[in-house]
Amino acid sequence: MADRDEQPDVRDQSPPRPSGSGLFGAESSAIIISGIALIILGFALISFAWGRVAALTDVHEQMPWAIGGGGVGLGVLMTGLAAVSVQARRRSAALDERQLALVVALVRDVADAFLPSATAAEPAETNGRSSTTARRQLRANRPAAR
Amino acid sequence: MSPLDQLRSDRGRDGIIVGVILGVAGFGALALTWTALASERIVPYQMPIAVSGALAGLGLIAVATVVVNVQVGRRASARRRDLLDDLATALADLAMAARTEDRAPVG
Repeated sequence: MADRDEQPDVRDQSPPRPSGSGLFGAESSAIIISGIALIILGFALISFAWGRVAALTDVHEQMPWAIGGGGVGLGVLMTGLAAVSVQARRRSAALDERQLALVVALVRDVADAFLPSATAAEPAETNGRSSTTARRQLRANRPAAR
Repeated sequence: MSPLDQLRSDRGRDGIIVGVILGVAGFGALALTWTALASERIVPYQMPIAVSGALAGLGLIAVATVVVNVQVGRRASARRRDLLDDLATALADLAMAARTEDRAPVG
């Protein structure tokens, strides 16, 4: 029987890193800050277009600033809103994944405590796609009924 | 996997890339509209340019934000499903181990 004391306690290990680390990672604040900056820039562009339109009296000269400047400002504003929304969702999902991965590791630790030998098939990789294969192997290794 | 299947996949980045392309196209339409308006001096002729170009550009940007948002959500859900699948497998291991202990206790 394998020595259970040699097996590391999964609770002492740091949880697996969420998908995407670094500047564009799931837990990065850079994208949210950039999104807020884009929102402020969008409002600034709209204000700038407003000022240019107010300084002109001919409608045909006002139109490019109103539609072009105001439209681009609105587009930048929407892009900033989307960036903030997407990154907030990614951060929340990354935290959920971290918790779930820890739960999976803890359950495996408990299962290994019952069956520390290699009798049971190795659980599927975190990918999760080979779980069906793992279950088939588990059934194949099941002890015969008496 | 066909290109259409790759695009529809809830794990790929193709949908996000398409969203970004749509966003860039939207800003391009706005820029084109701006220059076209600046080159036209008669307001009744400017109006169709304004309506078609600006509204289409803003519409493309709106669609791009929704596409990117949805695809990011789908990728997160797919990763969560994978982890739940792992959890189900680990719990099945645990149940199997517990049953094995019941039938043939160690020692």
